[in-house]
Amino acid sequence: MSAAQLVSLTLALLAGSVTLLGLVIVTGRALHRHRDRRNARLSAGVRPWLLELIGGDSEEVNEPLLQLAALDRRVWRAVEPGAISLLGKVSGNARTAMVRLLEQRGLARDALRNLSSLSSVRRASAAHVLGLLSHAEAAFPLVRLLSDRNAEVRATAVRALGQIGTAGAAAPIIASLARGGVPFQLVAQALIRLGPGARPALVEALSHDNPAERAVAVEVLGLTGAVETARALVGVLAGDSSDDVRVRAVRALGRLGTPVCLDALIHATGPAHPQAVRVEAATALGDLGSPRAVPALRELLADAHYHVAHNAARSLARLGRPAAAALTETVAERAGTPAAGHAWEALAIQDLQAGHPPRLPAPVPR
Amino acid sequence: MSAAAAVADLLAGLGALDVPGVLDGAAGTGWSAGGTPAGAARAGQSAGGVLEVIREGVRWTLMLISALVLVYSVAINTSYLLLIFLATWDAVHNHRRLPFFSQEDVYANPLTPPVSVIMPAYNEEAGIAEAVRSMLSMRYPTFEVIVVDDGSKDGTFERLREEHNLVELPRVVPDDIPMRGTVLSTHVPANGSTPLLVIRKTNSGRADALNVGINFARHPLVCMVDADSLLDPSALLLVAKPFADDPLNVVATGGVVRIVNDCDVVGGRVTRVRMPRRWLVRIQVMEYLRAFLLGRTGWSRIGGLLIISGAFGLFRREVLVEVGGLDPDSIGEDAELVTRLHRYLRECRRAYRIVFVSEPVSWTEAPSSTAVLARQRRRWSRGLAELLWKHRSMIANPRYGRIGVLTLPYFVLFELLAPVVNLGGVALVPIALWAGAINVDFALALLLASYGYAVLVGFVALAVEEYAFRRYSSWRDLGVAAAASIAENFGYRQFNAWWGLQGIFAALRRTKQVWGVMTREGFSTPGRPAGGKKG
Repeated sequence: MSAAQLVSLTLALLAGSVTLLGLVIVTGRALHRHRDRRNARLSAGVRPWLLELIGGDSEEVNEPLLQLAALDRRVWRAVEPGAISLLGKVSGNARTAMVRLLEQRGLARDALRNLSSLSSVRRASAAHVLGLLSHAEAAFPLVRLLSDRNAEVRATAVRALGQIGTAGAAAPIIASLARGGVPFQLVAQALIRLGPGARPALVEALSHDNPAERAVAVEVLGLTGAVETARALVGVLAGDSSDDVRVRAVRALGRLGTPVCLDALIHATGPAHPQAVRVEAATALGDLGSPRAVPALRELLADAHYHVAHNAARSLARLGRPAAAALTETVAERAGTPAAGHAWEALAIQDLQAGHPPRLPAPVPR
Repeated sequence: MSAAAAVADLLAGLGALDVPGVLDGAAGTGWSAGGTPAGAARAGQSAGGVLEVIREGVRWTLMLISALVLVYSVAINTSYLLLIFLATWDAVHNHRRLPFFSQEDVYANPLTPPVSVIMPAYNEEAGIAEAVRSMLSMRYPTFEVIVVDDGSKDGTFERLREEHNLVELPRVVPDDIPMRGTVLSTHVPANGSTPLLVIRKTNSGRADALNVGINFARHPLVCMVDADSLLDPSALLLVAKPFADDPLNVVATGGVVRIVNDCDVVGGRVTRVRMPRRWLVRIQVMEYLRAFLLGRTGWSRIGGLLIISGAFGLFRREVLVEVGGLDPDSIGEDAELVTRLHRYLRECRRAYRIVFVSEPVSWTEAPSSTAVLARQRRRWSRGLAELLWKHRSMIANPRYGRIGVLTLPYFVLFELLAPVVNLGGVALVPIALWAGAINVDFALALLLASYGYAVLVGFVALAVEEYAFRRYSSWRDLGVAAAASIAENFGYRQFNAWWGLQGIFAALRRTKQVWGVMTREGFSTPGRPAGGKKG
């Protein structure tokens, strides 16, 4: 083939490709709009029944339930995504009615079947629906799905197990972090939903090799107020090999707020601990909210590390009247030092919170 | 891209039929009717003439260069196409996830990390109040907004004081990262609850203002945004999601920047997306789509993301402190920061991820005049040249993984050198004329092919936009976008190359860095004329 022919052919191919792409774009948009309009038209007639279903008392829902359960497949296909989305947003009677409707439409049955589909999208969709329905029978197959080859499927299974609330799934949910691809916060959220029944597995996870598993266990124990595990968390703070896990342990102890937590947190502000732990401990003492922390926090105002001193000041500002005296004394005793500057800031914050204009100090040195 | 024009320009001045190995066999096909015969014959006729020997030497040199430029042109457009295909993969993946993962997963989760949003502002009187209001109404569980007034000479601070009833709150100035400017005062709203901090400081440039903001940031994640940008309400949620999903590894995420010119803006929110009225801006819309959205998504997909826009990026604060914050001496400080992060984390042998998120959007005003666009492009080009020079030891160095062996060499070859190749071709035209090697018909055909390939790349980008994002809803906008993809090749690319070359020369001469004035027209709001914002 000559160069001229090659160039001609290239030109023809390019022109053809550009035209084809243009057609694909235009057709795609036209089809999309047509589908949207059709779905809007079909679901418009059904929407009043849906609203009646989620807004009515238990006896009033029979009529809309019957109507919606009897919709032909074409109309239901247009309504189904909206109905599933609605299920995640309602509670109480409305939720019960929606679950009844979706069960009658065979969604749970289809979803259970689709858990073993070859398509990862179908498996993930199925897990998503079963979670929304809190379908208890799905717990076992969903646990199996935690070792699915597709990360999205594993993630939706984690969330669904949390929604179903099977406490026995806690250990496999935690272990799913080891395979990667499952979002950390999704695992945490699922474990929180499992409630106190998950705590034995969480405590056991504190000694796992994977730092992500230890981190999630620490966070969930703190967030769920597992005060009986405070000593175990103190142990994590004292001896975990990961600074990130220790920082999370500090945060968890601040949330639990027992006396043993207070002592551990005051200790954690000491110079032997990494800066990140000390900074978080200064904040956690404010979260904990005990006046017993005031002397330690007051000392921290003079800390050489800015964020330790600053967070201590913020914590003191949150502790109210008992801290105000300590802050005023610091301003007087350490005038002209950064410690006094931090104390001024805390006092000014207290003023603002009390609805007063903030007091202004003499110029603060850097 | 710009190389397409280069091919055309170069071949317009060449006896392109003789390019060995590329265009063999063109001679005698009738395509060469308007040109001179092949080189060998001419050389034979003029043997003995020194001038003719030189002319022949020039001809062969030009042929060789033309072949290289042709290969370069095909390679650069193919690379764009590959990046777009990678981005398409990402778009399909995200599209499939939509039904199972909602923003609520992030919003309602107690572990979603708090964010400090930092807005450096210099003479932003006209738009600062709206920008801060918009930022404060972001949908995110816990965040603070830190405005760093970088020594503005207009009423930037006064506008904020009026809007939020600011009162001075004394703060000890943190110095985790070295700062050049001096902090004058710090202010918070008198209600004590709005999470806003305004810092007044002496003027020291955007990078230093951001460093001051990072120092004052209280939260573990730091989001850098321009004071003249508008964020989508859920932008923070989506750009923070990778941090929540993979808290031990993700150190930075970047969001998409789109062009707001002529869009409807109400209450600091983009309520209706439209194609801009001016062709210069319309072309930039397509350029942003192809290069910034899809290009960066593609790089992110293969773990080679080098640039997170300064207009919208989220970083782990502790890592920013470890690397010393932004470099105030760099004119392309956002890309330089990301490169330094790669370098530092690779040298520390730490596992990390830098991710580009294609869905959250920051809206920014694009230059609508040639003069402002020229300044912007010179600055970008200069910033890239300086960045690559500063980190030259990383280029092609396997120690730095994909960034070293793939991304940085790519940026040298296809970003930095593109203007050189493009305009080098233009410069060779007079020489080719002198050498008597002109074949206008064939050159025009190749010109069309080169532009055709670039248009194809633009249309693929448009198809991905239509499938995954559908931001431009009207048929007219779609037609304008398609036309802009074509128009981009006629003048815009060539001027871009010229400004790029000027930027490279400025970097070589090490002239004083000047950001220049970005004249803004303000955001159009239905029922209200556009403001006359100057930044």
